[in-house]
Amino acid sequence: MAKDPVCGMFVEEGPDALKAEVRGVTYYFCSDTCLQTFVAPAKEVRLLRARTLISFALGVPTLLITWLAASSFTLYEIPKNLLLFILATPVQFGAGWMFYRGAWHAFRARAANMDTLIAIGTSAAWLYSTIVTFAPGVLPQGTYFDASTLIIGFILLGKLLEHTIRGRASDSVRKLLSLKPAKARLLVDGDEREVGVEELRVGDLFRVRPGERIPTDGVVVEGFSTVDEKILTGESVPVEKEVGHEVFGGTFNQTGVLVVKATKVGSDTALSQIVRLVEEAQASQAPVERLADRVSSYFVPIVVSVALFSLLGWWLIAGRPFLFGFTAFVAVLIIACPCALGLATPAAIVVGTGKGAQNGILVKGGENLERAYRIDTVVFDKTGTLTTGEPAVTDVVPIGNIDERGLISLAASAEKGSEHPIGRAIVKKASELGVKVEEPQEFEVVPGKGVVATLSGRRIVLGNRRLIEEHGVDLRGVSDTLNKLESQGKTAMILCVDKTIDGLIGVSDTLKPYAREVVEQLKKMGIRVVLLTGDNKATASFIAGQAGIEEVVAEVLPSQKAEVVRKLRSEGRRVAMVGDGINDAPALAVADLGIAIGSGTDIAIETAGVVLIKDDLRDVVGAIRLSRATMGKIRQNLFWAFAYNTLLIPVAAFGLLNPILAGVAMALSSVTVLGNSLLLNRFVLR
Amino acid sequence: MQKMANEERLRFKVIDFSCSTCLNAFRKKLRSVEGVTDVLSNAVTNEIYVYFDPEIVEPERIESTIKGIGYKTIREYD
Repeated sequence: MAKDPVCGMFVEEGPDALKAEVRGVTYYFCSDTCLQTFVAPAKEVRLLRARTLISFALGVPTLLITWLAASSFTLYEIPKNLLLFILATPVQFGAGWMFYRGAWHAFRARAANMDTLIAIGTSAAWLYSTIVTFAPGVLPQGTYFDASTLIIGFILLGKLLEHTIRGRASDSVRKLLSLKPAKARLLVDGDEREVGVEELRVGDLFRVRPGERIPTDGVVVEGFSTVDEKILTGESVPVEKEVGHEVFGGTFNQTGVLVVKATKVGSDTALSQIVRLVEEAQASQAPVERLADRVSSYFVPIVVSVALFSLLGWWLIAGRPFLFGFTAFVAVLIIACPCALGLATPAAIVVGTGKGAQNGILVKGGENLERAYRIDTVVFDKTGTLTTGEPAVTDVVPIGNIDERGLISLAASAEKGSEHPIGRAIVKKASELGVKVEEPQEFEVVPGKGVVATLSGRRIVLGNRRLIEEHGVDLRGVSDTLNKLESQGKTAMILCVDKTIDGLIGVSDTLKPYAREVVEQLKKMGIRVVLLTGDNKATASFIAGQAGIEEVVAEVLPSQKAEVVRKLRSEGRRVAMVGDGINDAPALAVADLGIAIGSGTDIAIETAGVVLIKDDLRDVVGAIRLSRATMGKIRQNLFWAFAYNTLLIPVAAFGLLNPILAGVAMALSSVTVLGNSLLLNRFVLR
Repeated sequence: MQKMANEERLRFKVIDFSCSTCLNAFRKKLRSVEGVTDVLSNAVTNEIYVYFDPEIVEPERIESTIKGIGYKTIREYD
């Protein structure tokens, strides 16, 4: 069974089946409509290529004969001008027919576009020359068949080049889609059966072997493996997967066999959602683009007026030969085609957002890209955003005859059965140090205070100030250490063995990797960094100090976070809020730019303008740098488009630009803008 | 982009090389169709995304509107 690439239906492969071969791959189709749809784009390209070839094949001889042959030149008794007419006419109405079509469609929509300009410009040249050919003496001598043919030739060539570059510019999204596997190994009562991915339903079990792509999103129910999730997250380090872990369609299973239960299929999968989001981001107009569109809608009428004015001006007012004015007229029309102007912004946005998507940075549309570029303040939520959100052991202070390892060993044994985050942090520290953890004989949790346990006949109390005092232990000997830990916002746990203090353990939330570098880089980029948290001032200042942040807003209720952001904005600052996207949704929404970090594959966060799939703070800098690079590219593109389209208009109006060269410049303008945008692919995010 | 729950999407690609600034025309025309909630277009890929409420307008009506504009287009499937 083969899949129809157009409608997705399954088709029998056979000698009678409808099929088409593209680059060595045979595709099968359910109907002639699907087959025609599939081959239509390739057919258009072939047609364009043929038209370009014809234009040059006839245009180059036209040019040579026009300029090199004497006016008395004949070929097979055909006089020079008639010969030129014979060469140029098929180009004008054959190869160049598409410009008339485009102009007609535009006219019907009561608009004028680049086709209108090209159609008028080349028709004028052709018509003038035709009149000269068949009614000599009516108009001043001289033909423009070389201009009409070669202008068409160069513009078609430009479109052909453009087509290739356009394909490469939008590659990133298509690459993602091409990684969707077509088949899955469905398990029915333990038997494996190969089916098309479309046939998978939520709840189905399927098997994935090493070296295969995972067909759809699901949960591992059996097996262990490492999976390369680079296509979703941009992270090249493979992720370990075991029972209970989520896996995603399109990611690459490396080492083990997995049995997975499907949780999402079809357009609900993370990959499909991401592709759709990027597509929509690329298709939404940035404010700067709307401006360019408005400019180009006034452009065409103005250009036609300038062209007519230069014709009449030179001929009637300046008294120059009609031909001089006419050359200026054609050149102005051709040079002024506003299509590069229209491509300047979308081309850069498509490449920029595609580049982001490849690296797990999803920018929702051109508008957010523009906002990211203007940001001058970044507000980080503390817990879970700048910090890991999980307490970790930061200080180990042994007292008396015990060492660090001994203290942690005792504490971890006492906390072994604990579900409390602080208890888990201590057990984790023990396993990091590789110290022995014993099973306590008795174990009791004192809520909000600590634990009491019996270990090898010794009574161990591990808890905060209040718990220790309740057990009648004097804390005066350790009060300095205790105060110091608490002033840093840490939770201090005191360990007593049979009423003697053996040491203190400081536990606190810790910074995520790269937090300090990221803050430093943002500052270097001229951005002010603010820490926003509901925690008390001591904890907040300690974490801020570690990260290198001077501006702290602490003791803010979750519901007030949005208010703080609004206040910063009212001070005239352009604020990006970085949060986890769930608790911080209101603050993300009121910021100029909401950045949701580490949301994984939950990209549907409506309030965020930028979604960072990975939980990596460096991507905050990456997103802002990418937006700056993209906006820079847009500005360059607008400059080039403007340079080609506008600065050359006076040159053409003064009769200093050969119409054929105007055609070359015109073709180059779009190619330049697209090619320049492609350079964004080389941008290094880190 | 807040999308409504009962909203569907059709995707088209303009394959006509005589389309230079034609996407504007598509956007304008399609937005005037009742039941069409939004139209996005990508000037690089020449793709058009039409969002519509299937209870108000049928996909066939959107397809015929697109055909009526004149440029060569193909419908793409997700």
